[in-house]
Amino acid sequence: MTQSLFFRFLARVMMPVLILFSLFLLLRGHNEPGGGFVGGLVGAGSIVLMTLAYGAEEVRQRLRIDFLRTMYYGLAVAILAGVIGLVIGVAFQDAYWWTTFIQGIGSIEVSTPLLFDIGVYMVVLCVTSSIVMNMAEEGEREDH
Amino acid sequence: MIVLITALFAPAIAALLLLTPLRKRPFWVALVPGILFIYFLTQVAAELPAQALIPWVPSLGVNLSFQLDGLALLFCLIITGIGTLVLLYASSYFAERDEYARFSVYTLIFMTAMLGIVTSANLILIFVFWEITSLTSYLLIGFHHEDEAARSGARRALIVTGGGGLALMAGFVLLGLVGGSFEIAELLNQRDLIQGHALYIPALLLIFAGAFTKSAQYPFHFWLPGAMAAPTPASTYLHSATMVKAGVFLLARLSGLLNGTPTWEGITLIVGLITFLYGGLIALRQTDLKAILAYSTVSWLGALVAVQSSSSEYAAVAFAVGVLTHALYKAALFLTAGSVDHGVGTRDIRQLGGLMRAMPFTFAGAVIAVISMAGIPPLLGFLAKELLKAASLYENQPDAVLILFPAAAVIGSALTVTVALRFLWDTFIRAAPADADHHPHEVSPRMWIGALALGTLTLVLPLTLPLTLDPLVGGAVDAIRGEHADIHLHLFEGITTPLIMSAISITLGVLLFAARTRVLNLLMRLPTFDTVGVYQWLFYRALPDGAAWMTTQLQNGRLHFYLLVTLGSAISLTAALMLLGQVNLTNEETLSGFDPLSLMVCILLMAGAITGVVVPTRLGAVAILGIEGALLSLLFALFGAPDLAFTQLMIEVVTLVLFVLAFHFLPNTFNMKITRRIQIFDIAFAAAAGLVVTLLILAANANTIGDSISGYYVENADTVGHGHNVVNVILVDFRALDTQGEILVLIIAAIGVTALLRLRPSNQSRGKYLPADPATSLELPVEADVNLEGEQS
Amino acid sequence: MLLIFALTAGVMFACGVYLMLRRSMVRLIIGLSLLTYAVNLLIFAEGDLQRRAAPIIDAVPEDQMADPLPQALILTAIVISFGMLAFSLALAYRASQAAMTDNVDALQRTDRDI
Repeated sequence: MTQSLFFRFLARVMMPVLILFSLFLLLRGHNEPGGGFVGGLVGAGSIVLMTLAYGAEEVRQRLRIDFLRTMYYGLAVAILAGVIGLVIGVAFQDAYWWTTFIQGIGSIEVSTPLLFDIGVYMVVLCVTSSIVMNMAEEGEREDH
Repeated sequence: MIVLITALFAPAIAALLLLTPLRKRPFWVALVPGILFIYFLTQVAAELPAQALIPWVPSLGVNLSFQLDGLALLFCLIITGIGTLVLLYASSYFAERDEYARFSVYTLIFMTAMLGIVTSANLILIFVFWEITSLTSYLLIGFHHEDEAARSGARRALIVTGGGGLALMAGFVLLGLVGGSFEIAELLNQRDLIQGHALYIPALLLIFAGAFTKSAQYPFHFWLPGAMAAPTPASTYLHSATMVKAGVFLLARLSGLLNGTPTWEGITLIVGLITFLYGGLIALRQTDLKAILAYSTVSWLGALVAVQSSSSEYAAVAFAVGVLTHALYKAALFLTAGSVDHGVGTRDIRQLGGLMRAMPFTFAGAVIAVISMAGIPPLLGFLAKELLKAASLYENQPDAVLILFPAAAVIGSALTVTVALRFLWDTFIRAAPADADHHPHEVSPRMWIGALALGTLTLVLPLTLPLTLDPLVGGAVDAIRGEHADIHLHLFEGITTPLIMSAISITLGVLLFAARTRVLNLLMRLPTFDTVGVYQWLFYRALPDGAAWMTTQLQNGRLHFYLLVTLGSAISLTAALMLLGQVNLTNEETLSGFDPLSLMVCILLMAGAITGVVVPTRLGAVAILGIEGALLSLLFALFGAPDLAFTQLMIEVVTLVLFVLAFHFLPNTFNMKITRRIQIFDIAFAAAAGLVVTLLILAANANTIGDSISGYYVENADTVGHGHNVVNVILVDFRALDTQGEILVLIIAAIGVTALLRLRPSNQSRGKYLPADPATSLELPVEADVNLEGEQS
Repeated sequence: MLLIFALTAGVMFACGVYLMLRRSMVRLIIGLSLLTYAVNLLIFAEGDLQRRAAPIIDAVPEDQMADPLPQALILTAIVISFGMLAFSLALAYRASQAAMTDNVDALQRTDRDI
């Protein structure tokens, strides 16, 4: 499952770029094309790339991210976003917005839908990565 | 309002507390219904009805809406009063403290549910509590779950009453549809509309099905004797004093709404009278004390249904007094039966006798209760029987049944007398049979006090009528009939027809008792319709066998067949609907707006799909799939859906990777040998499916119903959703609950993949696995999977 | 344009069904994917099929916007279908291991421990 040096180099370079790009997609998603689903998929793309270049086992050792667990955290974040509405509002998933102004960056809108989208992003990223890595590992096991 | 709701839910809260360390000393629980009883007593003099309303699902008209009126109050007093005595009794009945705690949990939950039924002013709420009583009854009947009789009795009770509950729900929904509300008070305003509506009869029959199963009316009575497997305190409480009265209560509650039609009058009268007489006759045949009492309960429940055939004041009075009286004396007798069982070790009437001396206090309670049951003056039972006869005489019935009800009332009462005398005589008075080997001892005060107190009450109440029963019964009658009436009960009103009828009943009953050996012989030869057999056949033979047959037909293990069945039914149903509805297939949009670029993409898509079918290698097929996805993504981009296009493209990439990874370990057998005939059939089938999809799209566009809701999202995305990307706002705000569900599905998929790929039996167990019981196992010979791994790699 | 969309979805659906009926597990999964494409197209065709701009408020006037609702529906459907596809692949793998065959009609023998 190990690939050429160039491919490995490419994967390592691309990984932070893809992650940044995915975060960019996530954050701008409310107003421009993008959002948690696409962002999560792009983020997972970086993991997929690494898996193809280095093999699942190595990626798992290097990254030390338990995708299954992070996936549950994502779900928890999404549910939390809904519960906030329940606690301060009248119903589950009532949406709330807070605008804060930060020097040098400008005004930032924090909201429960954004939090929910972050949860979606985490779930999609982790689900996709975990599936691909599981498949790759199964292949590696069969090869041995 | 808060007090009322707290009172209703107090038992359930107490049940919760029993799950805490408080369960170590559970004997305080009897205090809870005791306090509630006192609270409800104070309400007799209070201004009624008291109401409480909390919106629950207002959009569906379902509210936590409670109303404490006279009828509810009567039942509340019975529920909490007898509940107190039963919990007290049970504290001594159960030797194990844990058993008592478990019993108390079920009983307290039941208590809240039962209080809920009688105080609910909303039909859906009644249904909810109704089902909770069925469930707690199930748990209590199966209390000794290691006993097969208890399990089958519990299951039977649940199937019958639960099934009835579902019918009841359907009936309520019909009523709600016709009347436009689930609030009983609002439905009452629509009385004429409802009674004239075509759905009145179906709704009525469904509600009857619920009430009759719960109140053990013939032919649904058989679950009640089966329920006697429950511990005696539970039988006393649920299957005599309270839960089985839920059915007759419901009839009384809805009487003002549904009564007054020949259907109501005829069915309640016929079913009630049959049950009344049948229960009395069968009770005589029983030898188990509890079974005797169970059938006699069935009998009296029949009487309570029969009196409701009329909406007269007599009927309402007879009902209210009848409910109270029966609850008092029958609970006393059930407690007695439990004490006898406890003190002697058997409930078989053939083994019992002479307990009078050994168990004096139990005997004292039983004597009063039996006299009351037999309807001998001046006890409350006498008054109840008297009122029953009055109701039977003064109903406005058609001539044909004019004589039927009074005659049945006399005979049924006579049977009750015989049953009561036999219970007392055989258990306590006559000498014990010579071969009986037991050493009876008196039970603890906590166990005999209940029966004695209830018995004494049937003695005291008739002597203090103006003070006690007049306001209580008066309130109940007002609530049933919806108009005020001054009720003055009299124990003795001179020589009236009911009095003469009572005299005949008692004489007849005593005569029957005197000739009991001969009567019993006769009764034993009486053929009865085997309702339990029908039930057994239905639920243990017909249903499982039918299900098994259907399963073997449909689940034959061949995916090809499953696909043909599921897809075949889906497309034929869709096609049939389109044909029957004669839908339009075209409108101006169908052929307009051709766009050369997207036309080309579509043609490529079609060509790709067909190539995917004929391509001979799996890598080729996967490549085609990728191309299809990319083309689709392009199409999305062309039609203003950049989010879709991007997502589709990303998914396509990951999918390709996944396939390539999977090819590492998937067996490479791409082409199966399939006969030409099947191939041609499959092509025709697939073409038909595709055609239906094409037609469906055309039809859906040519036949729009109402306006699209998309406009709402576009207009409100910015103002309400604070976002400019409408698609994203829909996903994370407007329809976020859907998205929540969708990410959950993704997580389940990921767990599934992990489980399938990673979890496997450890190497040690591999190959050693043997089915526990070859006869019941569907396993194939185990040699087949030994070394499976080795062959694969 | 609707007619073309309907035809395309129909052809893709038919090809998907045919592939699923082919006994081979890989074909089954590919067929399933084609089926989901066809169904997504079906949903997409429920919006009005004019080539319009993306539904971004303020960027384009509302009357020149594509219908956002089918897009939202399809977006999640795409991701879900990926989950389903991954699951079917894993299942196919384990099932073929158990039954030692790729023939989906020979899978009665999988009810056992592997």
